[in-house]
Amino acid sequence: MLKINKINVFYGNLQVLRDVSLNINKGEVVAMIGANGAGKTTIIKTISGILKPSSGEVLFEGEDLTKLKIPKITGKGIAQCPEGRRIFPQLTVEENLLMGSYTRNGDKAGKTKDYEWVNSLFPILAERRKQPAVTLSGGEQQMLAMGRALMAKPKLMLLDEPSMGLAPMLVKSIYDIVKTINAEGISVFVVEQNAFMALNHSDRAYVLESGKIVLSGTGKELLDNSEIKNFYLGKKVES
Amino acid sequence: MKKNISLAILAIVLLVLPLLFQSRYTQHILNMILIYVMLGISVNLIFGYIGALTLGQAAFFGIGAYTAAIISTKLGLSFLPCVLCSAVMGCLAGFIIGIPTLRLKGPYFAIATIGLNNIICIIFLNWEHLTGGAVGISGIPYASILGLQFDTERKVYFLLLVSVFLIFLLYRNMISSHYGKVMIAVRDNELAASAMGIDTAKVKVIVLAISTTIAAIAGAYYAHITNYVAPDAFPVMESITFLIIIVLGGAGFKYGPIYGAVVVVILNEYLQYFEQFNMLIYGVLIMILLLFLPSGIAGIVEIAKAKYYEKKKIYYLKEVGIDEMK
Ligand SMILES: Nc1ncnc2c1ncn2[C@@H]1O[C@H](COP(=O)(O)OP(=O)(O)OP(=O)(O)O)[C@@H](O)[C@H]1O
Ligand SMILES: [Mg+2]
Repeated sequence: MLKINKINVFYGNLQVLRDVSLNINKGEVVAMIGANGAGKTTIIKTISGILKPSSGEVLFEGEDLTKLKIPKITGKGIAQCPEGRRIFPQLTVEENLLMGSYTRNGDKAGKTKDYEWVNSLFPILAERRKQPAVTLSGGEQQMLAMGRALMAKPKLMLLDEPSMGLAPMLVKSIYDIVKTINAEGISVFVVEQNAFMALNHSDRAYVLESGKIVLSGTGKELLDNSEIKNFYLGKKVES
Repeated sequence: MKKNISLAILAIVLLVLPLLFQSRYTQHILNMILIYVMLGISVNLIFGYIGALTLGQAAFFGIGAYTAAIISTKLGLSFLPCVLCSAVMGCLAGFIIGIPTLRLKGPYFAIATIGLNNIICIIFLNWEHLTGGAVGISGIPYASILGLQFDTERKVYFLLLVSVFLIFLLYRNMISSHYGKVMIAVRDNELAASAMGIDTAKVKVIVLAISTTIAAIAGAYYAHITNYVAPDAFPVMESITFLIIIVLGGAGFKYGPIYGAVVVVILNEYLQYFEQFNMLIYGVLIMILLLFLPSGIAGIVEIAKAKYYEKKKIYYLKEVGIDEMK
């Protein structure tokens, strides 16, 4: 479904991604783990078109996304839930959700159906419907950002550190939602520092170090890998 | 129901207002307020709702005024066709100028609009056979519609009242529609808005063109009311005045342009008495008002309404930065 071929991405002179290749098949949850500054957000931004690679291609259903503008890419069925949430603070919860379905002109019945679906996934959003989004707690804002991405009726959802700053209980429920979304047939690409959660909830995963993919495999394989245990999972798994 | 009654009262007040004030001078002030409401709406759309700080709106006001002046004096077209031509010119100018400049962020856009304002003034001054140079164009006929001549301040008041009302309705519908929410999304987080699939550059240019169309329409009215246009009526200082209307009235608030226009026009008039000190006092007053009303008059009204109707909402207002005092 999504195939990234040897992309190189720079910020000015600074090369952040080096010959990164990966693929996401239809119906999969694919994770990418890496430390701070490894280049995870940069990959998400390159897929969604905010950054353009200096070489390499990003193919989505066979079409090269690097030639398209950001709004067009969203229209193809790729929705993103960016790092730090980036909700619209002054709009209400409801208006934020509707903004997510911007590219779905017409399709009123479908939008209403998805709006109700999102509200059933995140009941708190229904309760806060008329509140400006800025008044939501951090966890609620994360749910809103996910709900908003779902309103685009995506084929592929990009999640950038959905667990950042959330209490363990909430992290778990966020990943439960990922599972539910995936069961609806939406492919998910999630980048995380929280390696344990991400590996546990993904079909396959990649490990990114200083802009290079150093390891890949199924979630379970990587969880058992001794290097991963040392570097990413820390003492928690060793003991 | 309650709302309908207050609207009816407002309508009656607005209709009898010019009859209460007999002096031509006061009626002139009322008319200035109405023109400034149009300009305030124009600035609120692009600054309040899109967040692009414009310091060149007087250029579009001038383009509208000169278009109407030239067409009415040289081609002899009547009032409504003149307004239409001014609107088209304002709209075109908005597109032509918006496409390159709206890519600029924050202060760079503001500076570009200052440059634009100066260029337009130089054109008014130097394209003599069309604009009359420094002397300007005089002899612009009074507005007239279907044989009805608007040749007194009081008649002009009613013409303006109806026109401002129509423009206000369009503006209100625009900002409370889904498109209005899209504008706020673009203003508050452009990157996230484009990730939603919104073509943010297009939204900005379209809103600028609507805003400059309204400024140009105000210009056409101005030309037909004063019967005279000259380059010194459209300097950058005038653009700053339009901006002050919105900052004082409340940027990004529906009624901001109305509150702001009333305060700014009245302040300007009273301060005339202080002669050379007038700009000084004006500046100090504006500073004090802004210190005490960081979200403008409309912000205060919102807070008062929240206190009266819905206590919980006060907390929301604080979160979105609408506060009584800083
Ligand atoms: N706009 C930018 N200009 C210059 N350098 C940048 C820019 N954005 C990111 N970088 C650099 O690129 C590298 C990768 O950044 P990126 O945001 O992709 O990391 P990340 O893996 O998402 O990290 P984190 O887990 O902390 O979010 C970092 O060294 C960062 O300093
Ligand atoms: Mg990151």
